Amino acid sequence: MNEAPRVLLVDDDENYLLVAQRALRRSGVPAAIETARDGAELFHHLGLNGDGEEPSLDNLAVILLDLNMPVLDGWEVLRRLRADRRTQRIPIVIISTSDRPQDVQKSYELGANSFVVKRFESKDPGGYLAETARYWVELNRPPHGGE
Amino acid sequence: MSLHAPVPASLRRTKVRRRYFLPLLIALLGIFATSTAWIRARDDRVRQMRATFEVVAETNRLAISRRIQIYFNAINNLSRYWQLYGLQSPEAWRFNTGMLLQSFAAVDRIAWIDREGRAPRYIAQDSTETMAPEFLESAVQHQRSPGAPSVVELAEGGELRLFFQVRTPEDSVGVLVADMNPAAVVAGRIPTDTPLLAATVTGADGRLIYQLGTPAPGTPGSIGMKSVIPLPTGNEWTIRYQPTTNYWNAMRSPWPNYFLITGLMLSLALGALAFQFMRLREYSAVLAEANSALDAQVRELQARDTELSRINQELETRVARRTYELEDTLRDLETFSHSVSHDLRSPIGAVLNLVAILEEDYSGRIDDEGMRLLGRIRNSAHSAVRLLNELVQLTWAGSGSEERKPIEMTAVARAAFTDAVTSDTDGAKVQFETTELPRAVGDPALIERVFTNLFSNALKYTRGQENRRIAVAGREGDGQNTYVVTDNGIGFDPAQASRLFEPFRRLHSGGQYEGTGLGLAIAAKIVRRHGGRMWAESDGANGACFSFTLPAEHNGTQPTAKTVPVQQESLS
Repeated sequence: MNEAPRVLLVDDDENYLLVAQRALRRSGVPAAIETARDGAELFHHLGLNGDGEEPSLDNLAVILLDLNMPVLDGWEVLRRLRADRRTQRIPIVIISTSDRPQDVQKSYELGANSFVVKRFESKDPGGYLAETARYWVELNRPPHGGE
Repeated sequence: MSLHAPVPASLRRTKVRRRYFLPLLIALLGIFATSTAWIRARDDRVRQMRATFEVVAETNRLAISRRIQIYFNAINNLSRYWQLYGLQSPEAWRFNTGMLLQSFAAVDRIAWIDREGRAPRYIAQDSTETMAPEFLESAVQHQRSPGAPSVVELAEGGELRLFFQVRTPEDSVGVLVADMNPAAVVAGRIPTDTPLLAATVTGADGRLIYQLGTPAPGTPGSIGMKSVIPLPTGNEWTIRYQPTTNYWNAMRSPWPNYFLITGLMLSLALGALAFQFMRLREYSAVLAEANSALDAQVRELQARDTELSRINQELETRVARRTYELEDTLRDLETFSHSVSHDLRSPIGAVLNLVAILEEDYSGRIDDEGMRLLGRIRNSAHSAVRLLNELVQLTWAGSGSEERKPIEMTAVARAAFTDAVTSDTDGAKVQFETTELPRAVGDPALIERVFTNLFSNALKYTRGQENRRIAVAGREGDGQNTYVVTDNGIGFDPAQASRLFEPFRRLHSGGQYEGTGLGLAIAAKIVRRHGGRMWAESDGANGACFSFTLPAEHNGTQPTAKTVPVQQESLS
């Protein structure tokens, strides 16, 4: 299969999703952008609810995961994804407003690949997200792949 | 507090009475026993002596009586013989009487005279046969008075004269007369081996018949023993014993007296010993009393000590509980502040982002006035985001989870300056100087924040100046190192120096210098959390000088080793 890499944004903040999607689109990251508004939606979206549906994990370049979410928070999502053999190796980047050392440490202990603090800038809003996504997409692309 | 234990007066009185009473009793008992023994011993000797006297006297008395009786019997037998064989020849007379005189030395002479006073025969110890006329006369007189006693005691010489009538069944035919020397009778009968006693025999009329030894001089007549010897004449002799000098010497033996003196001394010594013993007992009782009082005081002190430590414990518990409660409240506050800052950041950040998108994507469709308003919204949201960021920093600075390790302060200061200067548009022209800074102990991230904030502050207030200059220096101190950041900016009013580090306190108007007013407060808080302090100095015109202290690397744990040069002595 030669489908485009997928970037999955998980956040309950609609504004954030809006800004992030726009930034990713504008930056021209060669990836399909998908969103989920909480942990449950994420698992449903990935077909990991155990209801017989086939999981859709192919070409998943990175999951940008918020920590502070209703129902299932980021850490719980992280723990479940890392506990599942099928999602063990998917890159997960925590995107959070928190910069507390203990939050950062806990995220890495639970298996996050990176931790990025949310920035609210008037210049190029969400640009840092586009850069992060680009990094992981580029990293996961096969060296001799392409068109 | 006095540790002396008073002795109750009643106890003291009792002890004193007993102290004298018992030893005195012991001494008196000893004296009494000794004296009694002494007196009894003396009495025993006297009694013994008296018994000896009695035995001796009775023995002698019986011996003398018996002797006299034997003499009497012998002469009586002669008279019977004389009567039975008739008036015999002169040869028979001489033979028989001679035998008698020979056997009985005390008989001086014997004579025979018939009733008419004729045919007298006579013989004496010295063998003379011539009878003295007065002797014949007395015999004749005796013969003529038939009722007269047969034994007469002569006045002269104390001799006993015995008369025996020689009779036929019908009538008397004559008389046999014998003279007996009493001293000779007595002499052989009183043993001479009793030198303790002097014996004196006296006749009925008080004549001295016999004396053996002499009574001790000065012995009163009442002392001694008297006993009576009855004579065939019906008279009595008296035999008297009196102590001699030897007796008194024997009686005056010093040994009983030695015994007495020794006993008395022993009694007194015993009494003294008992006295000492009682005093010792008394002292030990007083000591025991004092001891127990001391014990009581010690126990009381211990009880107080226990009480004190209990109160202490309680206080500590209370302090610990309060501390815990305070910490709990602080944690709640920090959590609250943290979540408020974070939860506010997203919506305000969204405003900022959305305004930026609006400005970018719709710039052609919004007029200048609209764009100006959007700019104001953007600036306002931007300030709010910055404020929230700073608030988060302030909370973080007080979270107390920071680590403590040695910090290379020079490197940290350089990194902080690099960080701070990037946000300054004119930063490249700023002259940054630093000396080698002494190492401190703390959380490197937080200390870097301190420098960043101080440098940001310095950059802010030097903006627009010529030759902008920021310098960092440090000096080691005793336990605390001091670090100084100086700039050549506009400085501040020295009167406001202490208010610089209050949150949200800005000494210059917001329009002129951007900022939240939290940077210095955060820096000061971090320093305080590390046990240091921060202060600022300025003359109000020529720049500012911010100083802070941090624990030195060897603070208390590793004392600085001072090398003292030691001169080695040569062995030459």
